[in-house]
Amino acid sequence: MEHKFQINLGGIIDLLSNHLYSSPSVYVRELLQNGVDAISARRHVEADHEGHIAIQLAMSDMGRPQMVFTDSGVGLTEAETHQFLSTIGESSKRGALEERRDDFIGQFGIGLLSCFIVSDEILMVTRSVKGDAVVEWRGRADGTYDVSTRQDDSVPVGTTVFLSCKEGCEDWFEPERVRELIINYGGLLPFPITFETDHGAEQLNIADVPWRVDFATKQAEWRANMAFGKRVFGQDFFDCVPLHSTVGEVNGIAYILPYTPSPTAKRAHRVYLKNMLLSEASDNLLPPWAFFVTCVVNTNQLRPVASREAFYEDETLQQTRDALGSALRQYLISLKNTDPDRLYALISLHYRAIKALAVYDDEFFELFIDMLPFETSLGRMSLGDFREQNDIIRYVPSIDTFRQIAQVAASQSMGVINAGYSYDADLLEKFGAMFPNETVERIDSTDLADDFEDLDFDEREDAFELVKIADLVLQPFKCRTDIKKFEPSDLPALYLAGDDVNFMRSLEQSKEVADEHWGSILSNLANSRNVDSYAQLCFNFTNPLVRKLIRTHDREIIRLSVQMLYVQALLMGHHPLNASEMALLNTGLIDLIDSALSGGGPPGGWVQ
Amino acid sequence: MTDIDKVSELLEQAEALPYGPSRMALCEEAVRLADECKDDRVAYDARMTMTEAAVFGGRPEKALVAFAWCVAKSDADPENFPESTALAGIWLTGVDILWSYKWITLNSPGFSQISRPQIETTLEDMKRRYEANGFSLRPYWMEKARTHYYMGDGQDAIDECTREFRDAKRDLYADCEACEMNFVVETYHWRDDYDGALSSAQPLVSGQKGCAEVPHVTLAGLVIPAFQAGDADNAERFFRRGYDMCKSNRDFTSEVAKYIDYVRMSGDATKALGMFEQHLGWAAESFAASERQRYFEAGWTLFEELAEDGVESVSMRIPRELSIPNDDGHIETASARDWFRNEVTEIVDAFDKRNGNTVVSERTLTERLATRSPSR
Repeated sequence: MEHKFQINLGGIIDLLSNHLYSSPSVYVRELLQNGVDAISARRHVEADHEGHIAIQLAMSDMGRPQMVFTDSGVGLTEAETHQFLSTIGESSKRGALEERRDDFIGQFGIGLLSCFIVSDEILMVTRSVKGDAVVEWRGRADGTYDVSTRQDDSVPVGTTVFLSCKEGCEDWFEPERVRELIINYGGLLPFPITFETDHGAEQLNIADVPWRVDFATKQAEWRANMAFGKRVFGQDFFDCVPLHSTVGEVNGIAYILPYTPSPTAKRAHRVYLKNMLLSEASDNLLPPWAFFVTCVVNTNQLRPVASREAFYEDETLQQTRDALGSALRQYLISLKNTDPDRLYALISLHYRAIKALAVYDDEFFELFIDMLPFETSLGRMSLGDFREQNDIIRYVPSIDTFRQIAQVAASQSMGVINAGYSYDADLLEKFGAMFPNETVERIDSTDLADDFEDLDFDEREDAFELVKIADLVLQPFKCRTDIKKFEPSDLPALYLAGDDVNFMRSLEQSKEVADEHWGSILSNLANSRNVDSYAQLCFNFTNPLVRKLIRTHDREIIRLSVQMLYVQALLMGHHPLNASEMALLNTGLIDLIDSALSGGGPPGGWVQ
Repeated sequence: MTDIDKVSELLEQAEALPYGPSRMALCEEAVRLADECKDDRVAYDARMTMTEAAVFGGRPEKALVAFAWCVAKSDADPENFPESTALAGIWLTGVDILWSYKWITLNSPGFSQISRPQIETTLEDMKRRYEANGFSLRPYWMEKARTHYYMGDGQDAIDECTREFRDAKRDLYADCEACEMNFVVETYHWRDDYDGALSSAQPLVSGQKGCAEVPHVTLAGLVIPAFQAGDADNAERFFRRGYDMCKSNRDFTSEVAKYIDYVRMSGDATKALGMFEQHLGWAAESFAASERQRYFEAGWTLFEELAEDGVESVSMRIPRELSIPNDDGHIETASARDWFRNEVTEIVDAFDKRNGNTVVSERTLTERLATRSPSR
């Protein structure tokens, strides 16, 4: 008797192959999944049934490649055969297909459908554990199928699917390719998977998956884990950490990368669901800071989203992630006690990830913060070493500010940490909050000047005229002046801008281009509580040029020189010039050249 | 590597980081470098990236400055810097002016120095730009409803906006589902309807839906109402889960203040004091008065109750920005209480003046009384 599908099968296959599945290769996965599900279903009836899957590739009489896929699972009765087909016919909506994923028969039907991507006809011969009739189902891609039954006791319980390669799909029947696909998807299955071609038969799955083995010693377990990692990923690793979580029923191994990964690179984890490969991405299974490991895990409980690249973000996943994260964290902590050298080697490779963890985890932070490396004005060192040399932890939050002050700070042998790198500012802020007895200061260049040496009374008197004129000249630029003694002495002046000043400079910059509405908002914003919007130009009394300038009595020369020193100090500090400062640079240079040519001459040798 | 490549690299590094000072510093460096290059394209991209980092890193004033620059650039040269980078339902690049505009309108009312007409003009400008590009006004109505609430406008004005919000269709510029659900939860809080808030927050509380700020703000919003409604188990659950999400990002200063209130109300003033000290620096450095207000409110009631309990003085580190009277870190609780109360009063007075009503100060007083520990 011939029946007709209630749907456009071509449309469904297109939907499956183009939307639900990423490549025709999934037909192998779906066949394996059907086999695995059928074997687990049979175990509910016969607890000690071991299960077996056999895949055979051969050429048909017509010279077309053929696949015969056999499982020793629960099999289907005639009624179930109709039921799974009605499932296919039920709806063409992807949502309905997704819901069906929870029920065995529905899932079976959908999985089998994917075979139409590579085969125009599917023949299935099945015998159920519940009844003795052999059911033969033959479906065609045009949407028609036949079902017949017969008695044949020589057919064992289970299901055999026959596929014959569609024109253009020969690649997907290549023995080497099929072999790889089976290993890829089913390599961890706990019962034998045999693969047979003209060249003979072999068993493809890994019998001794380490987390299923009881090892006599820790060393034996470690060696097996490392060997397993090499086999799965084809590379050696720095170390490995066994992963277990009762929630989500997760077992696996995390491998620590032997190189420093880019934090933006996607991690290639191999995630198995009930021992079938689910995904090579699964971003959300591990905490975000765990980007220094790649892992192999199997879960029996978590629910994948439709794309299979992640799991549903529910409480089970959250608890699982916490458990896996705590295994990694525990590993690092125990390394600290058992093998500190190894830990230091690990930190030098993966300090970014460790810092990322320390930001979130208070307890871990306390244990590790002193071991983590920072860039400082005294060279690169761990925070612990830095704290030994410095009573106060001073840091600047950006690489730019650090560049501005590093030279000066080093000349005064003052320790300043460059916290412009990933997580550093967050960590130091946290350090101050967690240890109230330690002094952590976020400084800017103005704080640096507090440590500069003051002039004595006579020197002050000498310099008074310069500072007075300079204050007047720079007033329109919201800049005060001061004069102190500091190293290096070849630096004539330092532009000192705190966070507030930098903010005001960027605000003015936006105001220059903004329309009336935004201009007025920015003006009001600038009008904020106790913001000190004045920057400071600090002259260096030890600088020969500045000394010459002090001795000059030509007010015009002083004015021009101050303007140029101001612009130069801005440029040296990597502060972009605003429009009026740019104008100052342009006219100031011309005036200065003009004045030199007219015979007055600027103080010699000041242009650097 | 050219400096322009360096800018792109800095931005890429920044985007890989969690929101916080490190991410912000990288963006600021990118902006400075881009300006030095005199390349408007990278300067624009850097400021757009910085706007996002600033909003979610608790530096809204920096977001306003960067955003204003981008708007000016886009208005001057819309062809090269379009305000919407979405075409036929697909994003061509990341964040654009239309998307960021939501954050800007959301954050503007928190600055007392920004006037009512300025805030209203900003909202209308956002509306005009959404309409000009043919997008649904759903996000506009959401932010307008919030603005009405913050500025003490009547329930009718709010209700009109939430109705319009509900009826407007969701399109490309709509907030994610979690954010929209969180907004609905807020509207229940505004009417003091804890049961409504709790039931509409279910998908967020269970973790079914979430994003960068949700359920962080949702849980913080629920914790005090849950405790007040006698739902102590839930309150503790919200605290345990929610405080962890907020404690590392100054963007959640107000949320942390709510947890401090809760911990004090549930009877652990010592722990509350420790938390208060830990995050006080955020409030001290905050540019937005609303963040300082909420945090200082928590300090006010905390020191008030400590003083009532006979604790005369405590030791606490004080950020240098704050002028709390102290003797080398020893604070008299009574004078700290007065100091925080005065600060809060000053801030809410400024808000009242800006808003043209007294709703914020009245709301604050009512809330302070309602969050006193139940044993009193």
